[in-house]
Amino acid sequence: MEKRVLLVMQDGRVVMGILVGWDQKSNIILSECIERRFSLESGAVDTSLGVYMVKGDQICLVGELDTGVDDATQWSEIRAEPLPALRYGET
Amino acid sequence: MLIFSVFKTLTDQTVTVELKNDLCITGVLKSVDQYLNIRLDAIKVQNADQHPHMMAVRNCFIRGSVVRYVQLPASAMDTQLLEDATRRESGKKI
Repeated sequence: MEKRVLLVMQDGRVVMGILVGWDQKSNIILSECIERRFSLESGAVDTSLGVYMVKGDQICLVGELDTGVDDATQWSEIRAEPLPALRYGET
Repeated sequence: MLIFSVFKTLTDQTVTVELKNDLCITGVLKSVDQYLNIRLDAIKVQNADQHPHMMAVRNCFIRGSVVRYVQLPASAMDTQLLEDATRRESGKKI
């Protein structure tokens, strides 16, 4: 079962790739990995990263990608602030 | 363990999870585990126009350690029962 997933990391980075491995500590191995950088000045930019091993404690969220929606979206047109890093304590 | 059981009784209910990166995600609670990792189906991100990052995501897994709040449906909660259970649980440890 090789599915495309989207990872949100604790520092706010968004990384997508094919889920090829995981363990109980939610360490995850992704192949054909792409980082999607968001900014307000220009649209989202994709950067190819290759194979990635992400430590479980750096992961915030793992989402199952709907490839139809993902492919149909013109990400280069979408402007948004990058996701913030985790914030602990007082708001 | 008590809170784990509470979440287990809430499966298939719609909940809103606020993460420590200020993202609010509403979805159907599908499962929880001992770390309070949460699986949500049919998710919707609040302020979707400001947070388009997860537009193509339907179902997701949230690490328990990054959850700040979980908003529960009041109708599915029995606060009296919960109060008694928490008292009993804290009484056990002393």
